[in-house]
Amino acid sequence: MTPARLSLLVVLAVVVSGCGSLSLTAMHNPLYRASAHTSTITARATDTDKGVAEVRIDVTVGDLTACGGSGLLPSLIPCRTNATTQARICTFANPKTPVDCALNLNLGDRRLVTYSTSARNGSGSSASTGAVTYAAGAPLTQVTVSTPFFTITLPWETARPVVWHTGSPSGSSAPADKIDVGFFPDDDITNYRTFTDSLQSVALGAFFSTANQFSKNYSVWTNVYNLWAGPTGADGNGCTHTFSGGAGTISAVTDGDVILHQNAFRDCADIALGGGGTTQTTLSDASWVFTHESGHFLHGLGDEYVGGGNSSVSDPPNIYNSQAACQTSATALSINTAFCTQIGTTGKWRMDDGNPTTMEDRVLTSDWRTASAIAIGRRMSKCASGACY
Amino acid sequence: MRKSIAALALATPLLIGCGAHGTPGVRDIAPRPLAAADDPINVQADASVDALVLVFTIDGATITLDQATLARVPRSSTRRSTELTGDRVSVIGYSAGNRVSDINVPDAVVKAQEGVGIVRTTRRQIRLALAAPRALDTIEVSAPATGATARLDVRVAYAPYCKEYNRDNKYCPAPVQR
Repeated sequence: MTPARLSLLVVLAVVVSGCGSLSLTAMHNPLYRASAHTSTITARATDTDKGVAEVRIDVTVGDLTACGGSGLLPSLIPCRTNATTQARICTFANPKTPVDCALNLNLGDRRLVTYSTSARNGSGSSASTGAVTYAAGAPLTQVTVSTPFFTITLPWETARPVVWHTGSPSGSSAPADKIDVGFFPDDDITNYRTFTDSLQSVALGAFFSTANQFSKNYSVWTNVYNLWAGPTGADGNGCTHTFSGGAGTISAVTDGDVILHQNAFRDCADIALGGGGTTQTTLSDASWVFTHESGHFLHGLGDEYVGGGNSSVSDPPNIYNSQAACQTSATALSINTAFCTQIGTTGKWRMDDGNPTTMEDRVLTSDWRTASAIAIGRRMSKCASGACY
Repeated sequence: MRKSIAALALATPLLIGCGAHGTPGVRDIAPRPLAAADDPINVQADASVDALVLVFTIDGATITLDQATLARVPRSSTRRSTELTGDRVSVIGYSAGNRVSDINVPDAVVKAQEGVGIVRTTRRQIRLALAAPRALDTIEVSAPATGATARLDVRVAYAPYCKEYNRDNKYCPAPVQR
């Protein structure tokens, strides 16, 4: 993996124990592919003070199943059988520049991979990343259920983990609950590989990159978000979003769902604390568009621009029906009341601190600002408390 | 001697690793089996619950069942949300007239379309997982945003698991009382 590519694959999880300068990141590539392929897990460690002595990648690989057994119903979240564990240990002479340790896996169909990484610096301090699980290869398509009363074979699909946080970094307080985000191909994407490639591009740009300001929040909180791929069956057209078959069942167990599409139409999302939206993947700023739409359907935020959807259900709201309501909220949030600004002549009000904000400004330098930033911060707190919603 | 060779094999890559700054010495630990019961992934599945996964369309005051599927799902998927802001859809599950479970989820009636503004969709699809610790026969759906209420027969979801009624088969809804 080139340094340039790795620079995109920023923080999955970083834990530093003892020494303040040992950092460790890890990522797999590709994130998800529904055919047999070679997957590369790369861990990057840096310690500019003591240098890096060792980086270790621990991997478990097995067959993806729908759980079940002993008369249990099949699951929408996968299990694993026939698993093996292995490890790669890379040793270094305490270089103070970033070092990589990579492991290639040749993955066939219906495989489920879990990896975690750890590192040790020149003075013996260590760091580790939490376990991440992902699926690979052609998905499960059917399952057999046996009980004393029946044995049946059903068509079945599980959610396909793309980045599923299945462990906690040692020494950290990982959030007790996660926000599960499902990605589904629109019916205008006829090639599933095109969908998974688009998913990778959107997800990397939105959740695993600090190159642009708009993605820094999600990248810092990346271990709060589980990312899943769904099967075909979704159809987005403007504000009409439908799911059928396996896409319908899997989208029922995620917190938010985005339909990735190629054809041009004005993207649309629920203004809800958990819902759905669309993102056109052929746009050069598709990751930004996804992030903006997720502000609507994951966090209940409203558009802050003239001509947008100026309504919110977030906590706190980022859209107000009067200047007085905006100022009251600003005071409660310790935000300058002078920031309260009318959105054009709509009679709707927002807090504007003068910086680009993701619910208003379509620029990569945007960020969650003022009330939006507090709303997302409160969502992260709720996740840490055990229930994101 | 065998121990010495093993120790040497272990030490060699480490020595190689110390030879160059950025180039790693690499040592692989060969794959070894992991029992399914010890796999943390499967431990998570132990916390899943039986649920009726429902997909239905609300069009104004009309509610139509699109899909009903029995599945194990994460317990958190069936949890009643504490969020009360925004429009909500509530669903109650019944078995032989007894209330068994309930959930409320966001009602996707208010949307933001880029460059268009607020779009109110009276026709929308709702997808959720309703806990089903025993066989449900009916759900009651309420969507106040468009004044929609309905009682829907969901026994079709159990058909693959219950060819004929057997009280010991927990996937058989009780026969309708007449």
